[in-house]
Amino acid sequence: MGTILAMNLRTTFSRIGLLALASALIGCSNDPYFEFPVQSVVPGSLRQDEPSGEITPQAIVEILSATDLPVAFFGVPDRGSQALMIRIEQNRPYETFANPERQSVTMRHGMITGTRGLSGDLMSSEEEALLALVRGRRAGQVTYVQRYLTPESVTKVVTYRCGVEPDATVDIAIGLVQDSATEMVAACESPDGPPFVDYYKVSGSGEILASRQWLGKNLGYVAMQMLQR
Amino acid sequence: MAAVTAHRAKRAGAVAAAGAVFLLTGSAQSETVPSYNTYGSPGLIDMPSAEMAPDATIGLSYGRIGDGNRAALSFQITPWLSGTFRYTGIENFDHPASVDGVYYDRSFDVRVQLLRETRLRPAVAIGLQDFVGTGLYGGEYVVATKTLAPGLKVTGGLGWGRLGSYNGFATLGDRSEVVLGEGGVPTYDRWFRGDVAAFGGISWSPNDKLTFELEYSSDDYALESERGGFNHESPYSFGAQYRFDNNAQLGLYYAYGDTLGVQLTFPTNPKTTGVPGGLEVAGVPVKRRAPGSASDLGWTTDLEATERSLEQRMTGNLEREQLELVNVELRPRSATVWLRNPTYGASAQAIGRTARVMTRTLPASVEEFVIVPVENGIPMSAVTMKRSDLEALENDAAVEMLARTSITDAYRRGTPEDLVPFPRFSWEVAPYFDYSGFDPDMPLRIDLGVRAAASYEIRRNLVLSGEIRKRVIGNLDEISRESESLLPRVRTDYRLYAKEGDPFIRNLTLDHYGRPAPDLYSRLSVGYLERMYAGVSGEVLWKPADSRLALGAELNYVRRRAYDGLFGLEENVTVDPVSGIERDIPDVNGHVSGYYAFGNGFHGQVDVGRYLAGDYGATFTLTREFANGWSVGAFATFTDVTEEEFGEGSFDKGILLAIPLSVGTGRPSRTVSRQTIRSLQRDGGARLEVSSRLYDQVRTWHEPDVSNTWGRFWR
Repeated sequence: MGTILAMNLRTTFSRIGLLALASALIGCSNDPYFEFPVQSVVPGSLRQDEPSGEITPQAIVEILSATDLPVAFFGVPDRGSQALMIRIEQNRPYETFANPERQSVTMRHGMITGTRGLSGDLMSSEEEALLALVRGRRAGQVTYVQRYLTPESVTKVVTYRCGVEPDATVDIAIGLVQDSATEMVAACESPDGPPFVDYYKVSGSGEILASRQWLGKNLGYVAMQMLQR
Repeated sequence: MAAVTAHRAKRAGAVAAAGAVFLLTGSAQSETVPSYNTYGSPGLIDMPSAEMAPDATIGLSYGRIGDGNRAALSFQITPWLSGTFRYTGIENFDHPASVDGVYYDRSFDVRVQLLRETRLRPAVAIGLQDFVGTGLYGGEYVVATKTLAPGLKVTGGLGWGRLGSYNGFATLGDRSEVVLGEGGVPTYDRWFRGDVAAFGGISWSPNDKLTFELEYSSDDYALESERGGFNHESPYSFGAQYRFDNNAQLGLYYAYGDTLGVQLTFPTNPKTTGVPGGLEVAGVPVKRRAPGSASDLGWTTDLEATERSLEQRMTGNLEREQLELVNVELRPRSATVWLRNPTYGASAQAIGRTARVMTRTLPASVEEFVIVPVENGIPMSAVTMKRSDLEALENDAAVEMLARTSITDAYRRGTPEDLVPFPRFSWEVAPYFDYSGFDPDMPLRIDLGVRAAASYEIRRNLVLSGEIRKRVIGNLDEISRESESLLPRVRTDYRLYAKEGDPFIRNLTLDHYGRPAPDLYSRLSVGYLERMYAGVSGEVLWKPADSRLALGAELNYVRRRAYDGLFGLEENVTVDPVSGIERDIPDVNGHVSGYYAFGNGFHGQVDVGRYLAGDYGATFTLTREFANGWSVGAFATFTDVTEEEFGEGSFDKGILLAIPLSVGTGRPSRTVSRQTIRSLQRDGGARLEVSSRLYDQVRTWHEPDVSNTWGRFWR
């Protein structure tokens, strides 16, 4: 009995020792903004958030029955991540959608003009001309600008020349959005970035109901589907 | 946007391992990093080439030829100028200064690209190798490199000095053999003199990963052959190099017909390393006011009640942005927010997030927003913007908002009263590391340990703070090398502090901060200022909010601390262990400083005054700073101490490297790891270290720093 107790005590002590060592290594503070310095050893790029996985139909039903606000689905295939976002704010034509993880996407008539909290965010864009053709379901050549932050935190401006063309007419029935839409194709090129091809499904009233849009080298293509207008 | 900025290391001691980021991150670089040679510069195997690394590349290299080991840190200072610092240890080298047969030496190189490569013309560069000091590797060269076909490059050049020592074909004057001063000064009496010889080579990369190299060297390794085991059989060397996914490169060579060579380089780049834009969550969006609501002043009938409820909501909202509301003052058409930023390295990001919170919480009639960032209870600047601009420009380029924002002095904009009551106490426990380099007995010594720091804010601008450190493992206490100093031993007694101070109080000071007049900032510190000195330190800084120029003055009264690093004080007298001579350390030292942001990220500082040992002189510092908090710089101090009195190295000089914690984490942070790499610490030109100096605290919230980080305003 005595030996067992002693052994237990010894293990307890060594555990306390280990805990003390561990806490010393991990670092602690009463300061809510305290940072553990050794985190810096592991590069952030290796610790990007886990892919949030596939959105289930169940999750879509839940969110649509919980809110009357516009809801959109976003997918980032290169990262294998998907998200449902609710509109949280409107600033004139710009609508900001967000999820509880505090990631947000801002759209203008359904065209993504900025993202926040996704890492490698699109900071802003000059989409006026492109949006006019896409919404009007007209063909043409326009200039389109995307702005990003570099790792140095300097704004990088990429100016594209885009050729826009209407394609087939399709029926859309996703979530609570049912409409017929015209597919618009925008093929863009720039000396400062890779070329890309965007698709937009545009309703008769000129709203983009679904799209696949290039948001730069870090995010790649992002898929958007309106689930509730 | 240009890139001058400094991110204050809020907890300079906390920064520990950020330096290790270097080795692990690597980076995806758009431009190609050229092959490095065994000297740690772009080149062939042992010879230089005319290539430059992409702007701002930092290369960390290890190279070996025969018995010579070379560790190098190189920096692409501008697209056409690069510099390299190298530490060499040659084994089996018969020299009086060798320790256990190993001869250690430090060297600096510079290279200037005179012509960039075009379709028809080769790149042409001129370089000085080991141009400071004893010049073991001393040599100069003019070299040209041309890409003949994709992946196929030829290099040819002329070398002097060491690079003109094999098969020279001409002689240009006499090359001096004399070491200037006590070493450590530029060897200008040798440059491009003496024998000239030709060198050259070919490199061929069949794909992105592999490079094959063949070189004809003009270095005959005379010194290594004479004093060491080198055997120069042939001028030809050849080998292959492999490039890893993170751009690290490993080269293996058969060199000089008799020996093996190796080269391992980790390139990184402050401009391309890290997560673009960061991983942090989104800020809140701007809330646009309903049309017509701006004229509603109904709420002003009960201003106090509105202010109270506003304080609560704003505190909560800012906390979610990891910012702290110090106070808010409400007027019918204007509001001022005093802000503390514990989180964002980019000052513009803290301002942008606060402005957005203000659009969501302030009554609609408030059109003018004033944000006053507060450091140590002192208002640093007043950032003024219009709410309607924020509403209109949320989705535009960030520069649009910058053009409509004014940054002015916040003198007399002291806070009415802090919402969080004083005194305030905070503490933290974290690991630390410390190192000492370039001791021939042990080139690198490291301590790892635990540090406990605490800060007690007695009232708004009066802070008692300190830090104690305890080593867990390490060998800094084993420094045994004693060298004679002809000056008071103001720094060379470091080994005694390292040996006896465990645990030790790193600093324990009472600091008072103030705003004596417009554009003026002040600090008074009393206590244990640094590891080796206690005393009183007073500083004033003049820095207009929109100025690239700042001027400061600091006066210190010091007492030498006891070696055990606890509370004891000693007389300001040191005894030299070699000569036995007693010398006095003067009680008073101080400097007048000028700071200037040149633009394009270059920042200069000149400190003129009296140093710890009583010598008078000036320190010149030039730094290249990046908007994300990285900086790379160099400094040199010239005082009235003669080269003989100073001893080895002739004068104090070194390299400064700052790496922000956010590079490793991808999360915003104000913590920056700052390292000073000194080839040698002597007693001349040694300055007191005070951790709470004003300039970095102040400039963060002034121009041009705020503009330089403005890309993050909407992030």
